[in-house]
Formats: sequence, C-alpha cells, structure tokens
Amino acid sequence: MTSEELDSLDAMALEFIAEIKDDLAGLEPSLLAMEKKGEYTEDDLINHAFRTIHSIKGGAGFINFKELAGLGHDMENVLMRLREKTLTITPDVVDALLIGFDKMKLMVEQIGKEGAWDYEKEKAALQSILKTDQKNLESLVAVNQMPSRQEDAENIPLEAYQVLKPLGTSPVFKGQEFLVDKKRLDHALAAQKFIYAVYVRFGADLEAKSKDEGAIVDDMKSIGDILFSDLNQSLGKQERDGFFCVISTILDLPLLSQVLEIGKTQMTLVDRQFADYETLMKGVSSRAVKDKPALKAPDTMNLTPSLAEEPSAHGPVESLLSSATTGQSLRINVDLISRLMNRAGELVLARNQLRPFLMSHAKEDNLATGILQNLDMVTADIQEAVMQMRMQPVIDLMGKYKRVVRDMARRISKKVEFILEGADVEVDRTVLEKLANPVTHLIRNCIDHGIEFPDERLKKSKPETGTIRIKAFHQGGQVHIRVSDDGAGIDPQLILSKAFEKGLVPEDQLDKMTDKEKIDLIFLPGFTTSEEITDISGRGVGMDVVRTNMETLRGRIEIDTVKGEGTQVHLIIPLTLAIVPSLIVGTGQSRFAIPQGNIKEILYLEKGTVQSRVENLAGSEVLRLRGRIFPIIRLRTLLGITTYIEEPITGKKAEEKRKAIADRRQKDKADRDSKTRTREKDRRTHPWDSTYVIVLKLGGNLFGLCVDAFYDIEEVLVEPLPEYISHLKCFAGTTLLGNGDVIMVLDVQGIAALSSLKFDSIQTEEARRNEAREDQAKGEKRNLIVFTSGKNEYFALELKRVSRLEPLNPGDIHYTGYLKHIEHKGHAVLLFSMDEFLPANECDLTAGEIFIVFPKQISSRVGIITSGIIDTLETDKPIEKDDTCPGPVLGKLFVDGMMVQVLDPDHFSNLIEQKLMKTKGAGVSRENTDR
Amino acid sequence: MKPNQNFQYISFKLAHTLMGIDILDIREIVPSSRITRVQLAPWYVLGLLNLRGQILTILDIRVLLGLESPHQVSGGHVIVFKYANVGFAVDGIGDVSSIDREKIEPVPANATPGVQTYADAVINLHEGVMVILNAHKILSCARTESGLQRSL
Repeated sequence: MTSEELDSLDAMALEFIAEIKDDLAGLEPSLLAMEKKGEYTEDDLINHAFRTIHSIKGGAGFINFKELAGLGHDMENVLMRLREKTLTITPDVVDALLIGFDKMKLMVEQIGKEGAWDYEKEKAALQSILKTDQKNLESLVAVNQMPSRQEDAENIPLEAYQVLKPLGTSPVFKGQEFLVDKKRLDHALAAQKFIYAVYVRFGADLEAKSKDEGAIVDDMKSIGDILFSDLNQSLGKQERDGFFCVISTILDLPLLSQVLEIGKTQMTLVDRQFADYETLMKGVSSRAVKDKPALKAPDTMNLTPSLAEEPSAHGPVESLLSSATTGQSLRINVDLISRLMNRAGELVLARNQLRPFLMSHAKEDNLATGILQNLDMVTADIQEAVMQMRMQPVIDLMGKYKRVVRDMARRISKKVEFILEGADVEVDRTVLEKLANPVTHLIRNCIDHGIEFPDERLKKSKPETGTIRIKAFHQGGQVHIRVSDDGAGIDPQLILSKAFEKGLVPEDQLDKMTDKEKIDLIFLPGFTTSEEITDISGRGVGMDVVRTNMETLRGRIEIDTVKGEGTQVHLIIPLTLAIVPSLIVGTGQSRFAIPQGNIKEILYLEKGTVQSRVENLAGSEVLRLRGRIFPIIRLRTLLGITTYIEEPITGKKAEEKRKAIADRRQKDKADRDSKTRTREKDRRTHPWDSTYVIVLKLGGNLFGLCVDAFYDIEEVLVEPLPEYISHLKCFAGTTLLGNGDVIMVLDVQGIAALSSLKFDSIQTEEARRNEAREDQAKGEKRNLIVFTSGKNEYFALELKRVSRLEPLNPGDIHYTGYLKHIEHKGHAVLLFSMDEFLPANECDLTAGEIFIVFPKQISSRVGIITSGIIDTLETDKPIEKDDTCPGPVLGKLFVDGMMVQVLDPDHFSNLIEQKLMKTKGAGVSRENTDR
Repeated sequence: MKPNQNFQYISFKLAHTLMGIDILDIREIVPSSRITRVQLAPWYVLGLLNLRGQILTILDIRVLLGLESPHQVSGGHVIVFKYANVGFAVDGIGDVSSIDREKIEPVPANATPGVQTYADAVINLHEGVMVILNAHKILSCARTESGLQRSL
C-alpha cells in the first residue's frame, strides 16, 4: 500500500484502521493466554483470536491493504489448525503468531508512511510451523480420525447446492429461498464471512443513484463474493422491481448498507450463518448441528464487536446483536478531556456564584430550591465523571509487560512467571505514561540480573520458574508500585567493587559505607554489573534513568534486597496529578490542603488544655499525648503567616505577636485577664485560646501541626507547583477548591524538613542510639584550643567558636565589686572566669601569661579570663560525655596526660547571656557569683 | 522587535509608572480577584489565581523592576501572558495603541538595574515616558532573580 493510495483514504477507511488497531490490542493477550494454557486452551480462546485476526484481515481487505490481509491470512491458517486440534499449541507456535502480530502492528502503525510491507519473514515463520507439524498432523489424523476442514470438503461427497432462507421479519424476503453453491458457501463460512441476502431495487437503489446493474455487482464483488443472483431472470420482467442476490462479505450490516447504498431493510442474514456460527463458537467440528434451528439463547453467543454496532430493535437476530454492545468504549482526545475538566470546574464556580442569588429567592419561591438542588447534583456528578475520565487502571500499562517478560525470558532461556496484582488501581494517565520507562527497566533488571537460570535455581532449591510480581496499590495518598522478584538479590559487596572499578567511589569511602549506601550505588550514572553489553542490559544507564524518571514524577525509589532471596524495588509516586482526599485547614487568612493519608488524628485543644498538654522544651514545643511526646510545628510560624487577635469591644484587629502556644506570658495573661474581665465574651479571642493539632505521620514518625481551624475533607486534584515556586518543598502542589479558590497542598515531608525535624536520623529510638554510638565512634575532626584556668584544670573550646585571644596584664583589671573589667580599644570589656560557670578552681591570676579568650557569637564586650593558653590541637578522638560532666561541658578528652573538658559553645554562650542579664538586674546575681 | 512595522502595545500603570507591553505577548486581561498568596515564595511572586480552572502564577513585577515596596497589594487587573500560565498584576489598564518603530528609543542609561533587565525600550509620549517591557525576560525571571528568593 503506497502513500498515494492512502491519500485517498476516506473517513470510513480511517475508521477501519482504528478498528484494526483495537483488534490488535485485543489479540496479544489471547495469544499469551493460549501459550500459558498450552494444549488445554479452551476453544473459545482460539476462536476469539481467530475472529480477531479475521476481522483485521477483513478490514485490511476493505482498505485494500493487501499485505496486512495476506499476513492475516497466514496467521489464520495456523489458528485454523489449532482450532481443529491438528496442531498443538507450543511456545514455538505462539512465537510465530506473535511475530506475525508484531508485524501487523508495525504495518498498521506505518499506514500512510513508506514502510517495509514485506512480510516474507513472518510468512516463512508461520508456514514453517505448519510444515514442521505436518508429520504430527498426519499421525494425529490417523489416530483420531479427525479430518481437517479442507479434507472434509474435498473427500466427502456432498450435495452441490444448499438452500438458504433469509432471517428476520423484513417483508421483502418473505417466502424467499435461495439456492447457492455449497462449496462456495462453506468456503465463505469457513472464512467467517457473513452471508447476506440483499434485495436491490432497480428504481430506488440504481436509477435514483444513477447506477446500473453492472455497477452494483462490481460494488458487491469489491467487498465480497456473490453466491447467488437472479439479476438475469428478473431483468425485463414487469412484476419485479428489483433482484435478489446472496453475497458473502466480512462487512457487518450497517457497513454493508452504507457501501452498497441500499437500505438496511433490504438486506438480512441467512439461516446457515447462525448454524455455522454456533458450531464455530462451540468448536464442534461435526456438521451434525448444521440443520438444527439456527438460534440459541443470546447469552451463548459471543459475536465479534463489529457485528455489534447499531443494533436495531427488531427480530431475534437484532436483539441478539444488542446483547454484545455492553462495555463499549470511545476514543477521546486527551486535550478534550482536559478542556472538559477545566470547564467542569468553571461550572462549579458559576454554580457557586448563582447560589446566593437563588437562595435569596428560595424564601419566596420553592422552585428556586429545587433548581438549586438539581444544579448541585448535576454539577457534582459532572465533575466526578470528568475526574474519572483521566484515570486509567494500571493494567493498561502493566498488561503489556506480560509479553515483555515472556519474550525476554525466552531469549535468554530463563523461566519466569509474571504476576500482576492490583491491576485495577487507577492512576492519572500522565503519571502512568511516565511510569512505563522505569518499570520496563526494572523488569529487565529482574530478568537479566535477578532471576537465575533454571538449573541454578534448582540447585538453590528454589522453584525452577522464577516469579516477577508487580503490585500496585494506593497508600497514604501515594501510588505505590512494587516490582519484586525471587531471584538472586543484590550483593552489596559486588556492587561496591564494581562501582570502585569504574571509579564511581573514592577509595577512602570504601569501608565507611553501609549496605544500604552500597546498594544505592546502582543509581549512579554509568554503573553496571554486566561485563558485556547485551541487548537486554549492560549499558549502565538503567537505574540512573529509573531514578531520574521517578524524580520527574517527584517520586521516590527504594530498594530492599536479600542476597539469595530476591529483590524488591518500591516506586512511590506522590499524589501529584492524582486525586486525593484532603483535609482543608486554615491558619490566619490562608487555607491549605493536607493529604488525608498523612493524617493520623486530629486533636482539639480547648482553652486551658493548651497549657497542660503542650510543653515548651527549650524553645521547641512538644505535645504530650497518651504518654508519648511529639514535636509540634506551628504552621503560622513556619510559613510566616500573620494572624490577628480581635479586640472584642473595638473590633480592631491586632497582629498576633507571640511565638509559641506554650508561651509563659499566655498563662500569666490568662490569669490576669480572668480577674479583670468577668464576662467571657469580653475576652479577646485569639487563635491560641484553642487550637487544632493535626497529628501527621511521616514514615514511622509522628508530629503535630497546629492550625487555627479545619474545614472539610475535599477530593482535590493536585497540580504541580508552577516553576517560580517549585523550589518550595513544603508544598506538594496547588489545587482548586470547589468554590474556585486556589490553595496550596502541604507536603508533610517538606514541612518536617523545613522545620528541621530530624526524623531521618531518629527513625526509631534504636536507630538513633546506634547512630549516636556510631557518631561517637567516628568522632568528627575538631580543632580545639586548650587553655587552663585553675591549677591543672584544662578546658577546650572549638577554635571556630573563638574570635580572638588577647594577652593580659593582671594589673590592668579593673574591679567593680565582684565584676572584672579591662579596657579594650577604649571600651570596657567584662571578664568572666571558668569557675563562675562550672565547678572549678578559682582562676589563677598569678600565673605568668594571662590570656583573654573572646568567644564568638556573644556580645563583643565579654571575655573569658584564663591563666594560660596551652596549645591548639586537632583531634578526632571521641569526646566522652558522662553523667558527671557539668552542663556546659560537652565531654572529656585525654590529651598528653591532661584531662581536657571540652566546652559546649552553645550552652556556654547561653550561660554567658544569662550572666549578663543578671548583672543588669544586679542584686540577684550577687548570691550566685559573689562567693 | 521586528523592524518597519507598527508596534502595538497595551499601556498600563504600575506604581505610578507608565508602562507598556507588546500585545502579541499577552493572552488576556482579567480583573484580579482573589489572589492566593504563597508563603515563602520569592518576593516577585504575588500569588496564584484561578482563571477558569487554570492556576496562574501572578508575578509582582514591581519587585522585578525595583519600583516600590512589595507589601502593598495592587488592585486592578492581571495581564496574562500568551506563552505560559503566568500573569502580572497592574494598577490600571490604559489603551491599546500603536506607534512607529522609529519612535522607540533605547532604555536610558541611568535606569535602575531592574528596568535595564526587564525593559526593552522607552517611548516618548505626550503624557510621559512609557517603559516597554520584555515579556520573555519577565517570564524567565525565576532564573535571573535567584537573589530575590526569600530566604527560608
């Protein structure tokens, strides 16, 4: 078929092409199912495949695509033999059929382009199947005495003609019978053609359309065979206004009517059709039933889809056709759906705008209420339906992997079974499309690296056939796809050495890596374990691509592997684009959506309980809940949202200034307020009289998020963040509420990260301890400055926390009571000694070299007085913290026979600040510092 | 800008400055109702707006041009770009006018860096000097203005 021919393709031909594509899509699963069931394949399945190929062939014939029709014919030959049980189904047979199928697909895709239409290779493959099986066939025939259809036709003597009766109630055919050549009839029926009786009116069908008899006969011949015609007998006879003919064609009735331009009432199927169809369906090769009444109950019939179009309401035949129309689908352009979706949203918006108007009328007129309710229902329904349109079950994508797995496994002679679970989990189609690549890579890896060769598996006492399992499910507002195999697993050591060979890991990191880190090396670009590049894998782009793909979906990938037992790759795709039920919460003027899957529970802290349940722990808040303690994050502070306190009398709004719920001021104030204001409503209402705490789960951890209000649970369609704000990790996306407002969807992980919740390092208490131990064992490199204060007491401060050192002449110290000052560049600098903070000996000011250490991050007018600087030292020795260490001491360190107490700079500077505060407040400090 | 063609622009006011933008770069002008602020977003992002089911990012080009403190919410309208779901808020919409290409002058050398970056040209009109903005440069501000990102 050339492109010129295709230029002339009309709309009908395009319809055929679309239909062929549909048929092809349905063919592959049946072929694979046939292979799986082997010789136990039900006849139904073979018949289904046969019919599908047949209608493809028919369609191809119609658009004059000879190559496709020819290939279809060859495949039909094989299937015919399968149907007759003269050929058993083996993987080789299915291979040949699949090769043919692939070629067909290619041909169809390339319609309209110059392409390779040559199908000799496929033809040869199909024919070789028939040939190799010829011997088997003969023996089979000899044993079973089951002649094939062709032999049937040739060897057994038959009557030469057969009487056909038209079916249906059309008056045109009343009492008519046609005598047709039985051989041709059988041939047509064997080829699964429809046999129609057609009445052509000379006047209405020919002259009115300026055709002559020759033209209509040519038309008929172009779409099928004319088995009978009384054209010659009826020509010139006055009493006849037309002629009958019987034709065999692959077209269904509506199409035939369209092609011949003859009304549907003037054509009908004939009785033999159904007798034969039945034998076909039942797979009974015996012709005994052929003379039985044609029709059975509709449910035993399973007609081809092409037959099922445009059922009309008359007669048993038609009702039978209509039974097959359920489950029809329609192709729709995706853009159209997106547009429809947008418009559905607008419809809701318009409804909302209309609502107050109608409501105001509702009082006077009941009609308005009815209209509003109706409108509500319809818009909700439309919105829901449109949302569903975008969703596709994962089977649409995963289904094709059956074939991929089979082909790949056969190619490298491994035995693999493929199991798909959760096929009906629905995912937004854009997500599904982007999943195709990663999942293919993963499956490839499973087959090539994971599953062992059959003999190897037997040695390891595993079943010979490996299993690849894909499970799709929704969890926590995310789509999870788990690809697992029961193969060899991943050896972290092997990964590490390969990565090292390829120079992907620096040598000094080799022994520091955990197993998980080692396995994660496979995500590095250029990583491969294969020695050679095969057509399946080995180029070292695989897992890198998988991860990149997942990142574009903003998803995660996790690998779980046990050496020798198998690997599990877990793809977690965030709710992006998916519809998620979300809780709408509010803080200040802003509203946010939180995916419901992340929510563990919602607490309402009443007035007064806030103080008792929320503790301020050194500046961070924690919630006490059922004996456990959870960190609390306030959305207001986190996102910098301004909230207002309303003055009850003036109605003025003042900006909320407190920083914490458990702010001490609140309690004092509450007490004071309650004294001065007797009436409850006189109290200022402000957000923290009461608060909602949304307890969120992140992995195995929980934390609370304080919000001012929560509204409702809505199903929201999350759209990705616009590029200008895509760096904001605390948001998962944006969404439109039912009332048309744009709100942000919170990302629980992002929130935890933004508020520096260190969940990663404290997955569990156990993990935290382990890590702490590891940290200590490793010890960071520290640069310490070691100084002394009292005799033989050594302290150290990290060098980076020290701004400068100054020598000091003890005579320069100016005392004011217990306070020591020196002059530095014209300013007074307050000096403290270690013994003012720690249990330590008094600073020895008589020593030869007195130095002042100026710590960083404290007011520049403060120095620490020391009785000498010992040294600076670089150490990665662990600093041991024990219970005897006073607060500001980080731990003890032994260097050159000295015990050095390493100061905790943060804690220390806090102490100094406190000290400064106290000196301001005078008197108070005296008790503490004046010894 | 293509030479020897009449240049058509829409004029608008923003922070007391007369500005214009090529009408071929804009899709539509809508009243700015209910812009959702995005916390922690860069200063030049005013917020998000629902335009018939599409979520538009509304930029505050006053910040880009360094005109005025961004805290004041500009009322009025949003001009939506043709190429992306992005718009910017303006204080008032003027007219669509056209002018000969020859009358267009380069941006004065002493203009602020913001104007230098995002403006193409100026036009000397009776009512004052109009700054002609470059839509493409504004759209790509996320890449040029990394410095204006609000620190987290």
